[in-house]
Order: sequence, then C-alpha cells, then structure tokens
Amino acid sequence: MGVDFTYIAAWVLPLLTGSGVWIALNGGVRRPGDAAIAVGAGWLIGAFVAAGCARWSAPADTAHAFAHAWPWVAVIGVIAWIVAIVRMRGKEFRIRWVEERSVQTGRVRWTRVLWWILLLLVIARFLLIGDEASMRPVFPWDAWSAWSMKPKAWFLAGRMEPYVPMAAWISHADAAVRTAGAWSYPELLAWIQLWFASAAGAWNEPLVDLAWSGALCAFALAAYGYWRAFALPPWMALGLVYALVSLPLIDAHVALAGYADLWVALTLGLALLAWTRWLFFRERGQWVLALATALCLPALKLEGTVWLLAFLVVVVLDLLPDQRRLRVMIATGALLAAVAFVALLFGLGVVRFVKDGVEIASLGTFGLGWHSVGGAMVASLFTLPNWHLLWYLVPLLLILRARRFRDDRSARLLGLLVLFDFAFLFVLFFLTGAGAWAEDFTSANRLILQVVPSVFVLASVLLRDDAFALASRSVRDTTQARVAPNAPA
Amino acid sequence: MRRGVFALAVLASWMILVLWAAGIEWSTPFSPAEQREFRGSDFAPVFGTAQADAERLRVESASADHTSLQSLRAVSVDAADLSVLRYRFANFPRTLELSLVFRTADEPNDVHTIALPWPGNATGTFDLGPVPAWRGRIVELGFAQFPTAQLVPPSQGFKPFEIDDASLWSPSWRGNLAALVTDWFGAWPWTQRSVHALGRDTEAPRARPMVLCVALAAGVVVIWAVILFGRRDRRIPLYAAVSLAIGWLALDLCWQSGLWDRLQTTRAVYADLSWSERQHTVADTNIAEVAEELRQMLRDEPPERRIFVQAGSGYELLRLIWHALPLNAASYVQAAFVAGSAIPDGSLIVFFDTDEWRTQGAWRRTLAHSEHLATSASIHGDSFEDDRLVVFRFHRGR
Repeated sequence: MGVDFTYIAAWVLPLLTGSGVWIALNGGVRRPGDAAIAVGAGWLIGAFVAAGCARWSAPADTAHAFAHAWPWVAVIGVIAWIVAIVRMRGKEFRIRWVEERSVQTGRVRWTRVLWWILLLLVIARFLLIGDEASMRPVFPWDAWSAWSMKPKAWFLAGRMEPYVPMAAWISHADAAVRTAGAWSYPELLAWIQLWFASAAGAWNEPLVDLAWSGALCAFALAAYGYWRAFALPPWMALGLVYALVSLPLIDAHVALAGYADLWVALTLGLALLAWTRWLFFRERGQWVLALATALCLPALKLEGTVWLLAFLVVVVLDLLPDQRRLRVMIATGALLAAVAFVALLFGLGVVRFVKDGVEIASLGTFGLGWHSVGGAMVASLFTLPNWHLLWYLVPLLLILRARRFRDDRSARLLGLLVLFDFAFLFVLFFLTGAGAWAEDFTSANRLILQVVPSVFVLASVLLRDDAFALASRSVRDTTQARVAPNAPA
Repeated sequence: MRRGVFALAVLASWMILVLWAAGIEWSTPFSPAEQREFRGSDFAPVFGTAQADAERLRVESASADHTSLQSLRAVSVDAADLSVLRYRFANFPRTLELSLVFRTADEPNDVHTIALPWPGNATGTFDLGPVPAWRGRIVELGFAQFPTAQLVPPSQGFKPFEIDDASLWSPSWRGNLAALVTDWFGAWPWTQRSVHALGRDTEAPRARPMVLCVALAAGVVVIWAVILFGRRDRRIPLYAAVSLAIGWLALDLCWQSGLWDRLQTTRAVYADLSWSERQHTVADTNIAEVAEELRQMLRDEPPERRIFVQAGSGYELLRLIWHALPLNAASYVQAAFVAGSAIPDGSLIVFFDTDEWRTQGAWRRTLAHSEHLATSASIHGDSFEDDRLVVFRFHRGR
C-alpha cells in the first residue's frame, strides 16, 4: 500500500482521458490558456469519468474498483484522443496569443514580475494545504460520519451495498443493505474516493483525500486557462486564481479534506467557465461540456440540484431569441407559480408543504417564516477570517463595472445566475428554519463556498477589457464563429 | 505637500484604527499602572510532575489522563484591576494545547478555563477583560496543557517544556496592543468547526476582527485620497486598488502563517509515519481500539447482521460505527425513534462507554431474553460489568 505505480496511474489516467475529452470537445480551436484548461478541466472531467466507470464496472468488487474500471477509462480516453486528432486534422493551428500586443508595451516587466510572485504564492499555498491533507486520516465531522462512510464501508466489505432508510434496514434484516444518517446522499464522490482507495490498495484516507488537493489544483489551472482565453492578461488571470485559492475557507476544505462542498463549488465553477466561453465564442463543444459538468452537480450533493436548475434557466434564456425571451419568461413564471400552487395543495415529489413549513425529502422539514440571521450572515461574510476581502470587493466591482451589464450580454446572464443562487441562499437562510445553520455558523459559509467560483467567473467577465468584450459580442452575433475574433486586444 | 499630508492622515487614521481594534481608550496609560509578576518556579504541579529549575518550572510529565496542570494556589488578584495576562514558555510542544485555569472567590468550586493560543517561545499576551468569568477576586491561577483535542493521539501529546514566567497587567496601550498582536497572529489549532467558519472555531473571546480592520484601513486610504485630491483625481482608483491588494495580501500572509502553524502540529505527529501508519494514527485511539475489539469479536457473524450501537455520547457513537466498519452498524437511538421495538431477532446490541444496559429499567426489560456475549477482555466471571464494551444478542421474549 502507498504511492506506487498503480496509485500514480489513478492520478494520471483521469488526466489523460479527461484532457482527451476536453480537446475533442474543443475541436481545433486554440486560444491562449487552452493547454492549462486541457490539463485542469481534463483532470476534473477524468475524475468523474473514472468514478462513473468504477460505479458501472465494480459494484461487486469494490476493493478492486481501479482494476475493473481503468480499462474502460483508458478506452474512453483513446476514443477521445482519436476524435480530438480527427477534429484537429486539416485545421490550421491558429494560436491566437491575445496578449501579443500588450506584452510589447512598457508594462511587460512589472506584470511579469507580478505574475511570478503570484505563481509562487499559489504554489506555496498548494504545498501547504496539500502537505496537511496528505498527513492525517479524515478529520472533519461530516467527512467521516457522512461523505466517507459509504466508500469506506463498500471498500472494506468488498462490494457495494445500497444505503437505505433506517426503517427499511430494520424490516429487511437479511438483505445486504446498510443505513446511516446520510443514507440518501449522492454517491459520485464516494466512487471517486473508491477509485483512489482501490488504486492505493487499502482504505488509506490521506491518499484518498489528496483528491481534494488535486481538484482545487485542477480547477485553478482550468480557471487560469479559461480566463486567458477570455483575454484577461496573464497577471490578472493568475491574480484571480491566487485570490480564489487564497480564500481561507477553501484552503480549510482542502487541508481538512472530506466535505463535498468544494467539489460542488469547483464543478459549478467549471460549468460556468465553459458556458461563458460558449457565450463569448459560440463554441459548441464548450456548451456540451458546460451542460455535462453541470449535470454532475446533483450526483455530488443534494443542493447541486438547485444550482443545476438555476443554471438550466439561464442556459435556456441564452438560447431563446431576444424577441421571445420576455414572453417565455412570463410563461415560465406563470408555470412555476402554478406548480407552486399545486405543490402547496398536493405536494410535489420530494417537496411537500406541511403546517408552518416545507418538507424536503432527505433534508427534513423547514419552518417557513422570517429569521433574523442578518448579523450572523454579515459576520460570516465581512468579519470572520473566511473570505479575506472578497465580499467587500464584489459589491465594489459590481458598482464600478455596472455599465458592463448594460453592454455585455454574457455579464447579464452570469449576473442573473449568480443572483438566482444568492436569492436561493437568502430564502433558505432568512425565510426557512435553515436560518439556524447561519446562526450557529455551520452550513452558511459552506453553502456560500459553493457559489464562490461562480462569483469569480462573473468577476472575470466584468474585468475584461471593454474593446475585447465588444469584439467578441460582435463575432458572436454576426458570424456564429467557432474561432476567435481577429486579434482582439 | 499634499502627498505628505495624505501620508500623515492615512498613518494617523490607521493608528486610531489599531487602537480601536485593541480596545484602547484615550484615558488608558501607555504602560501598565499595576503589574503582578510570577516566576515559573512559583507554580506548583497539580497534575503531572514538574521541578523548579532556577526561576523556571520544568514540567516533566503529564498525568495518567495525559493532562498537566500547574497552579499558583495562594494568589489574590482583583480581576478588574489586572486583566491582561502575559505568559512565556520554552520548548512548548506543538502537540499540546494551552489553557488558563482560574477560580474566583465568589465561585470557589467552579474552575474556569480559557483556551490560549499556542505560546511558542515568545511572550504571549491575552486580554481577559472580555472573559465573562474574569470578575471579582481571583484566588487560584494556573496553566493547563492537554493533547490538542481530536488532532493528537493522547499518548503522543506530551513532551517536557518549561514555564518561564507569567504576569498580570492592568490595561495599558502596551499590554492591549500586545494582546491584539497575539490574537491576530497567534497559532490556533484546527477544530471540527474549521470547515464551517474560521474565527468561530475556538470558544475563547477574540479581539476585533482583522478582516474588518484591514477593510476599514483600505477604505480610509480612499476617503483621504478623495478629501485631499478630489473625487475626480485619476490616482484614486489606483490608491483604492493598491490598498485593497495590499490589504488582501496582508490578510493572506497572516492566514498563511496560521496554516503553517497548524501544519507544524500535524507534522509533529504524522511526518515520520508511513502511509499505513498515518491511516491508523488517530486521536481517539480508545474508540479505535474498542472498534477493533468489536470487529474481532464479531468476525464470524454474517455481514448482513444488524448491529445497534448505544454509546455515552453522540461523538463516541458515530466514531465507533466509523472505526468498526465494515460492520453493518447503526445508531440504536435512531432505530428506536424510527422503528420502535421492531429490532430484528438475533441482532446485536452494542453498549460503549455506558452502563445503561444494567442501570436503566427499560433496557433491562428490553434485554431480558437477550444473550450477553462476552468480549475477549471479559471472559472471566462478572468482569464484563466493568467493560467499556458490552454486547448482547437480542432475543424477544419466548
């Protein structure tokens, strides 16, 4: 057991497969930062592919999930690379270094120095939190009582045994099923953990939970690449990456790995990055990637469904012609009101209105009513050392770049999505019994964490150079181009 | 000229901000008006062993429960007058947590405990003014040390160290500023709450938050720039951006330093271990041992066998289930809540660190027809009654 060839292969194989998938989806289009995206987004995509293959091929022999799944992951990787090569063949490799002009200016020296300083800070941070994560067994409460419970049980039992509610566990006493408080939690993350555990040859939490470091590192690379592709100058793209990975609560979730919130945040962030690229350049592969990534959200954590629904709303809005959008929005609003009315009367699947509250399957009953948690939320965002100056800067940026919302459709759509997300959090904390989570400082920050990368994606769009934003809008609207507009700067 | 005024105005504003953060009033003297100094050798060991070494106290071992305590028994201090604690240790191990322990004349039977940041080799300062219990006359004062909770295996926590000295100061600029520095830059360990809300992961009262002060400091720069250079001055966005960037960097370097300190605690336990040893080195060794005992005992049971666990606390219950995996175990309380008395015949009921099975009538009735399974440690006679682990095979009445 330990870091041997198999364990290293468990890291490299998702990278190779995922990067093949990303490049295949990306076609022959090349932009600055694509290599970083292929590696970063590729690893995250590959981890999900590996987990899916493990779930499909190894439920009866979980201790050897890697051995069962790796050939399938490899086959997907080979097919992806073949498609990638075929799609790229015959196309001109146009590497459009958008920064070409800017690097010729006098700013080059200090921005380069700044870039290296930021890179050192980012690397130092990853070394610190990665070292911490690689040391100890799983530590935070829900990590062992909820998120690692299933994979550990399945690994040690040697097979996947479904988790069921307590009543079913008791009434079917001879069935090979298990129960736990978190029986209904989604299982994608469990299969990622099983992938690494089986490659390590033992249930070894330091080796399993290094995946959290890998996920953040991969997202950082992908985000840098996407932001470069959005024509942010290198120092600004890396500055955003540094700002993101320097956030204390994100670091805590990597150093004390085991919670699913970080994966939800990064997956949602990756979906938004790809979708934003679609908004800018109408690259269909990015749209597919965004949707596929977003569809993983409910498989990671229950609230992932909410983020997915919010995302789907703006995706649909984007696809609607401008003249129909208003009518469709009104119709959708009416439909949602009707559904809410039906739910109020009869209940709606997992959501049911009960006396003084709403009952959500697997989550419990939340009393409806105003909860004064403003003080706790303000403390969470503005005074506790979880977010540095992020929540001071975000409103400032929104105000200073307010014109961008008027001029840039991408900014409007992203802003709308972030608004949906925060509206959900507002309703959850201020209008339901979940306000207790804010008051006792348990879940509020973690739910906010899930949308933080999305806020960074919006910030990157607001920070883009005006000229480039207009150029990409023009290209999108007029040519539906699959390649970059000429030399925007 | 205007730039000079700007620089002076910003510096003066920042100074006022720091004084506000430290809770200093204008009437407070620069140096403490009153001080009580204690040499290390003035402290006497209460738990664990220690020896005076010149003016220091060398703490040589912890007690059987891995804690150590050194106390000044004959102390009489007015809490309102002396509210700033200063303490200096040498060779204090990374694996221990430090607490201040005191009693008051009003509540002589209550021991109050305040967690302090890891002391390192420098002088630490802590403002006891906001501590609700620091009132009236203090009649006993001491320091307690114990392995960092839930992070360090108890047997690996203690290493010998020295208490150099301690003192109590009346409020002063010097003392309160030093307390602010200790609060902002002191080393606090990870806790279970660290993934929820940093800054709320310790129960100790804290100074005004650094994040707020840095944000205000950046805001002050912009306000003075607007006042002195005018709203339309092109330098204002630059000043704002630079001050916010420096503020972010300052906060981050402070956080990075905290991460480094936390990592040192972790490395002190795990760095020299193999991957396999790391996996098996846990802070709750007692629960892990019991879980292993349970697994051995039930190794011949079919994997589907339902196991219901009852324990002394929720934490012990869940940790036992976790460590005992892949045993098919669940909480008895949850089962009773959901299913009433429908526990399947032949199921196992496990009691950990609780004697409810023999002290509570309801349990005695439930287990009246059940079979008591002896653990390996309780194979002789009635010794099982002293065990932390008691197991029954449940049978309904015949």
